[in-house]
Amino acid sequence: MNIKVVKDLIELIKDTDVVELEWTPERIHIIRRSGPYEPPYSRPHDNDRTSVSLKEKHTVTVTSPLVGTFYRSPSPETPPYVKVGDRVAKNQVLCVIEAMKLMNEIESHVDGIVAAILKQDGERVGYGDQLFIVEEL
Amino acid sequence: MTPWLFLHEGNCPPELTMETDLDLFEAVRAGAIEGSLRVYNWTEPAVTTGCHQKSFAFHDRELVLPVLHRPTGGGAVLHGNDITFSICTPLGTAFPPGIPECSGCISRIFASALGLCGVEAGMNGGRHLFSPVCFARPSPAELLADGSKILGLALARKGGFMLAQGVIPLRVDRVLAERVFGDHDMPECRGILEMYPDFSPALFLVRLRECLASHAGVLLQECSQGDHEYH
Repeated sequence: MNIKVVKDLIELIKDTDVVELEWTPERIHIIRRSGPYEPPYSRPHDNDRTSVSLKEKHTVTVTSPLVGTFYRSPSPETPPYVKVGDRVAKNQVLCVIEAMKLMNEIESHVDGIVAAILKQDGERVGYGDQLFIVEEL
Repeated sequence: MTPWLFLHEGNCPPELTMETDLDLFEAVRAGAIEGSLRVYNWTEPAVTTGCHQKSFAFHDRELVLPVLHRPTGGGAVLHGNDITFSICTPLGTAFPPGIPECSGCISRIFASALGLCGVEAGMNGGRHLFSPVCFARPSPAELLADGSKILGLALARKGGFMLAQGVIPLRVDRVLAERVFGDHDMPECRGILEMYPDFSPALFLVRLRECLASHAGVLLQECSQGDHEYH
């Protein structure tokens, strides 16, 4: 996915009533709401979370500190570290980047919810490439 | 001096190789020990593959060998008769905090110890080019002797801690290597005893202990097999 496209999409929906936009090569899925925003990934046990409007959300972008290969899971046979909508704690591992025979774990800088995963498993990434968007709690 | 646990296990069954390395790494991360060096050989031939190496298959489809995933990166290694080692340490203590500097430091210490045993080994340098077969291609911090790669090294970083896994082949079973990898991926691969018949693994460990002390301020403290106090 081209990061410029993502940025353009984010800019496009800024200050609109669009609260969720899912974009894949096959389709664009948009949800518009005018009331308080309840994230689609809220779970029954998340009752302690209060609903907040999208405009109040503060997002943190996790970038790649090195050039390498992006992997979403510890190994090919294991599930991903995180999925979109997962709640993550500060210092929780989000992915690994392999560079020069080094498996380098990348952690969340904040407590939050994974709002977007911007790279595909096995994709090459460069220094400073955006990997995740995490909504800070 | 920083005390490190020194685990010299002799021959290790394949199923305990990666598992013990991970136990040691967790013990270091938990602060139970300050660092560790583990050295072992293998009770039987086995293959280790890089953490994310997918779809590894033997060239000879009828071959049956244990295949183990390393927690570190890199390509596949055929083990059989070698000095396999792992190092677990917080970054920025015995070694520099940067990963390239850290792996370079490890290689220089091993090169110094090999040099004291009469093996002229030097770092490859250059740029990293991935190969699905570890010993087909040297990476920048890995060691060469007489044109052959003699030390393979791969790492994993978790938070402020590093696990390094390495191997120095003593003898290479070329027939088995060909069944594992095919013949095109193993150029110039020789065991250190094939190049230096007088090389003594026991003396090498003595020299390695000295070099770790002088280069990195590490004091190795013995832990015999079965005395796994780090658990």
